[in-house]
Amino acid sequence: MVGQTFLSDQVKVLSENQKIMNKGEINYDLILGCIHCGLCLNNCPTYIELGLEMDSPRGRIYLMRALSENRINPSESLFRHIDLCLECRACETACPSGVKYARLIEETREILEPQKKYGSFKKFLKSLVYEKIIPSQKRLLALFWFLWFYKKFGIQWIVRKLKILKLISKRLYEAEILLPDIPRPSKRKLIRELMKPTRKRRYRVGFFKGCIMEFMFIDINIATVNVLLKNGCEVITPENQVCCGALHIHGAKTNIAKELAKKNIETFEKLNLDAIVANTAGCSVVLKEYPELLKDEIDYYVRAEIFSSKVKDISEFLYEIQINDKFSEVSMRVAYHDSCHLAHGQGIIKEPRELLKMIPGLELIEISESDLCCGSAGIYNIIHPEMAKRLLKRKMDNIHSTGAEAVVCGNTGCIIQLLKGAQNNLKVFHTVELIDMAYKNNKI
Amino acid sequence: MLNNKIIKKLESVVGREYVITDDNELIVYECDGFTKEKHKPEAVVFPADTEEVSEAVKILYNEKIPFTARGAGTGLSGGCLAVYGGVIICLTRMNKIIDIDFWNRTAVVEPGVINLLISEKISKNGYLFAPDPSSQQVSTIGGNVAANAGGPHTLKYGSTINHILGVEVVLPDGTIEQFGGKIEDTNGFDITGLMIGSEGTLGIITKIIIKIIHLPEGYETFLAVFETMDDATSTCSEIISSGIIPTAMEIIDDVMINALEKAFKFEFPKNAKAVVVIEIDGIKKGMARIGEKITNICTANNAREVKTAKNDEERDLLWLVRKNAFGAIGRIATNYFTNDATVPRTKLPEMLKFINEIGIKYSLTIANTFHAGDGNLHPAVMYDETDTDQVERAFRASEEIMKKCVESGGTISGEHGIGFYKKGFMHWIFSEEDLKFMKNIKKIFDPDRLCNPGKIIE
Ligand code: SF4
Ligand code: SF4
Repeated sequence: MVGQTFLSDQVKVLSENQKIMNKGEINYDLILGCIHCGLCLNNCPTYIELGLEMDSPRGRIYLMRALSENRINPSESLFRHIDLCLECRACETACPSGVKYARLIEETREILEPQKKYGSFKKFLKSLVYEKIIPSQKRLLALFWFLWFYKKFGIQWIVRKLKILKLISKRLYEAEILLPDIPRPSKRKLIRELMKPTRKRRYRVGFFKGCIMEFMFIDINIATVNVLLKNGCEVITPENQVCCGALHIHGAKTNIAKELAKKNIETFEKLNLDAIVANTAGCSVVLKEYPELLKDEIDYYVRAEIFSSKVKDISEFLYEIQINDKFSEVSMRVAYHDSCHLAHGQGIIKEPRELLKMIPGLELIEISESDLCCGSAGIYNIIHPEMAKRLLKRKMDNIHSTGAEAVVCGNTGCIIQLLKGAQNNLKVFHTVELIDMAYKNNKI
Repeated sequence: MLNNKIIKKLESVVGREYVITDDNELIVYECDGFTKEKHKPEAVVFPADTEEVSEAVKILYNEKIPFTARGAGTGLSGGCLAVYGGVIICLTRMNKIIDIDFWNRTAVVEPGVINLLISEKISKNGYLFAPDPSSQQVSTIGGNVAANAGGPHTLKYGSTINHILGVEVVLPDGTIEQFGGKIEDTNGFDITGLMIGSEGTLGIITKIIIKIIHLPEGYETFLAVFETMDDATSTCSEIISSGIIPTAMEIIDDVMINALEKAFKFEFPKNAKAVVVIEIDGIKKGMARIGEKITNICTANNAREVKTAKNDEERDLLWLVRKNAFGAIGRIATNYFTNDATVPRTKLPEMLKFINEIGIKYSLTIANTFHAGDGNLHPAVMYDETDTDQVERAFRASEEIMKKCVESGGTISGEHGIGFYKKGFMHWIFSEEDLKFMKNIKKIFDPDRLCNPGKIIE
């Protein structure tokens, strides 16, 4: 008995220490993992665009190191270079030494956050979005009803005409332009909590619906569920799941992200699932990294491991279970764009391509720099519109020059961004939509 | 000293956003791929074209402020360190391929163009730029020319110098000169040849006329696995002496295999002491016969196994793994020095034994990945830079290896250049008179010692 208390005390001390370390410092060992070879430089979108060492992975790691060693102090210029990183993780793919860049940049941002001086309006907006709206399904729903009305009943037209938002904030104005058409929020009810396949059940799958996906692209969610059902999956979409926490991690609000993670683990672990499937790469990558996020939460770490081991991106899942290939023809020339959080975050490159190639009539086109970030990167395109625009232009040039009729990818953020850049009737799809189409014999 | 007035002048030449003077930003320019020494510049400027380089250099020349050209900063000898402070002229914005002339098999490129992008751009037309340093996915052609970079395929195609027809240079006083041209011109002094490998100490290269070659019709790539390093090196010697000239012949030792395995999960054969990557290229007809000959030599030298890349994908993967070797050292150590000392091929077995002994003597891990075909070693001595004693030991170990190479009839650098790191060893291979002669040449170009000072011979 005594021994046991002693042990758990030690664990506590250990995790307390870790917490202190996590708050105050960037993991120095991880920094030392970078041997300064520079082989990542030309995979980094900001370095490719600017040619500046400070805006390269190697340079940013060097800045983190200098900061940890107190060789430099936080400054406007430091914030700028750390913030301009898209967290696309292309550098992780490129790095032969396996440097854990994403973790480093997240820790750095977390440390720098309190030192930044925000205007009070921005501060208010940030805490409103991160702390009040996104974590709550109800508030999100209310927001999207508002946006739907806004779009539907001509308010948008008035606001745009009068340039009202420009008066409030240039960023808000830019963000508003990004707003695609929003489906009626009640459409989400089409996905019921439990949906059974018509044929024999092969798997029991939990569906992680993604907060932005659910409200902005409900049709993609519906397509996802359809495709899962066609593959003999019983689909459970728990109503009380919450945001994965991605935006909070990228926005240096790890504490909120942890709470969200715990809620999701509690929700899904009870359901006795074979897999937890997400169709937004930005979500699945975070869901897969819950153990990392909760590493010093004794009550949750092991549960997070179990949870994350079940998480699959939809294309990964369909590929692994050997998709039902009773497809009809979809004749279309389609360019594939590698979403960062799929290709670099999860190494899922082959799977969606192989799935698409199975669809008769579909011609899959490779574009140059297909795994270079499109500039979406969560809410990056709102905060750094300039760089986002440059990268979008680059991406669209690469797509348009192939003469493709459509571009397909596996992430919500990319879809919003690509829709903004699409010209000449270029259509934008999620991989799963094309698969769904092939099942439905839906000719366009 | 750089003062505000000069900075204003530089800004008026390249534009305000292309001059960096913030301390927090300058710090990332204090070293390149050689991290042992750090020298922070006082400013970094990013010119857009030759004229801007020239104008900036004129200002610095008049004010007697040292300047150093930099590309991607992947050099391994500290060639672009701002040893005396001053200004770094970073050429990453000058990254245009100006002209490609397939008829005459030449191209004109700016110095900031990434090496690999040239080949990528012309490969669909059936052409290739042959020099392929392992850093080619990031390093710039300007840096390659400055260091006279090599690469695995130099065995057949020669180093960078064999593929350059001419250069445009901004001399240390700011004047713009062009040496060489689109056709091989053997008249007059070969200043182009002098510029290549001068590591930016005689001027700043602003345009390069390169040769491009036809892609070979076919490749054959082998991976031979050996139980001892001796068997691996004698295989290489025997292949060459049998009259075959492979395109590349690379040895990777067990320490490096371990790092690469962690990085790429390539599934190298277990417990091998060394693997040799051998490639031949050319006209497909007859290649099978040469391939068979190579396989036989490998087997005769106790190769445990000889594999052949079945398709382009397998070949590409093998090269990707080989070229990322140094980048993967982070899997097993936090820092490393590598030098690129070279010995006559026949001395390889002896040298590798020596390297092994040095590792034991200094209790340091040393990995070997090298261009066996031309005896160009790359012992990567690993250390932890937070341990000053280890740093010293590593430095001495690397130095002793280089010294031994020189004693065996070799030299201190095969392709990385001398830079800052190896300048102290130049007297091992050159006499006082030789060095004085070189200093005199430098004086003609740069009497005030402003252009990349403190390198090679200074
Ligand atoms: S992050 Fe990796 S690839 Fe980039 S410089 Fe560091 S070790 Fe090299
Ligand atoms: S995450 Fe992307 S933008 Fe950030 S340093 Fe890495 S490659 Fe560059």
